[in-house]
Amino acid sequence: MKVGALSASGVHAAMSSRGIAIAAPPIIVRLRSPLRFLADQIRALYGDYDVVDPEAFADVDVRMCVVGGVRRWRRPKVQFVVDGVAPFDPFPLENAMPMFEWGLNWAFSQRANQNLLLHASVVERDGRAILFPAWPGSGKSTLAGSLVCRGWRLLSDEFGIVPLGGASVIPFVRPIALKNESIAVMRAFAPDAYIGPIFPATRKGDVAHLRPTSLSTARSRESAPVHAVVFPNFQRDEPVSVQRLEPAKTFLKLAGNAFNYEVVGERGFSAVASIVRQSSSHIIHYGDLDGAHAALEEILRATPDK
Amino acid sequence: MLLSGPDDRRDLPRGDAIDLGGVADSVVWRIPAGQRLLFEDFEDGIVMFDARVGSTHLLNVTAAEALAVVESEPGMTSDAIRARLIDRLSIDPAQLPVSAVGEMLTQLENLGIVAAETQ
Repeated sequence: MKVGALSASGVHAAMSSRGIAIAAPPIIVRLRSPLRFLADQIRALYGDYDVVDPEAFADVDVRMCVVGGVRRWRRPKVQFVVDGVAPFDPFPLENAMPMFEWGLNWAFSQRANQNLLLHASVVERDGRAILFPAWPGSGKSTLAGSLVCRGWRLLSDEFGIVPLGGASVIPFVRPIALKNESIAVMRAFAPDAYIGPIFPATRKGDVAHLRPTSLSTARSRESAPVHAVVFPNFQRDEPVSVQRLEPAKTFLKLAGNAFNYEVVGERGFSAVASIVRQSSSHIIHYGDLDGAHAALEEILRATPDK
Repeated sequence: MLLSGPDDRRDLPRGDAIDLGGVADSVVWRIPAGQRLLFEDFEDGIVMFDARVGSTHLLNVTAAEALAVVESEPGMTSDAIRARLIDRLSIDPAQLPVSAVGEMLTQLENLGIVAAETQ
């Protein structure tokens, strides 16, 4: 059963009691919370995800609790609790959804060291994945989201997950976190896409979530080989330009981009080497999405399968 | 060119004279015990992984070849290593001054990749 097949009341009832367990391959996350508005947002953004038995093993057990001490009624806050531990300070109550998303990312990054975890968006089409490794502000989520709205499959917005010993990326399909001006950009670019409410003035600025396409969630267990590594660099009104990046330099940039390169050691070194050897690498500067898409098409055309 | 990390590029000195004070002949070089080095050779450089400490470095051909020499023939002086490099790389001796080899080995020593021993 899909989350979206449950009524809004049904999602809330589940979250308020035993929890709702959602399959978001490669993990199962169980979420408990009394917050009705959070249940509505989960239903909207995770509607295409499978619901599984809440009593079964969950890789990540999350509670979103209302806290606030003596000022609870004036300034209520929400606490992210994972496996019984609260690793962060509480957020304003209305920011429960972005806190859940960030907290889940954090929890995943802490317990997925059987993989090399790159900080990257990943999309795929025709069996060819493009990895967009980047740090915040570079436009990776906007670029990946725009491609997904044009028929590409989303593998991940936040993690390039490379199982150690392999050179393919496994999906971790989640809502795409759009920030600040990219929210309006995406609304204009893909008016039919579902974008949730804007959470203003979070620690990362204004945030809204783009729901993954049904294509992406339906194929959320299919890995894809990395065909191209593209470091995005968005600058408003800048013309599109593509610069090839040599392999050893790509290697160092990827190693520096990974969350856990030092943790996984030699196997991470081998994983990065495999990616670099089987893909082409580029830096793309762009100021508009259509121009960037055309440049990516050209990169794929010019990159032979290895 | 030798990189000590992903964003830390430093060019090797290219031939400035260094007074080694007669020490060079008494110092020999080896790979530290327990050291394990992995190499990936790309068109723009050689990426090396130091498995003992988990660090990654970008080496030029000369530095990578020097490591290969030290690894295969431990206990050589820098002069002997230089001679091996000139032979292996098929270069003119003037292209590889004694001082450059000494500085390169010292840089590698500072990174813990090679170790110096006084005879």
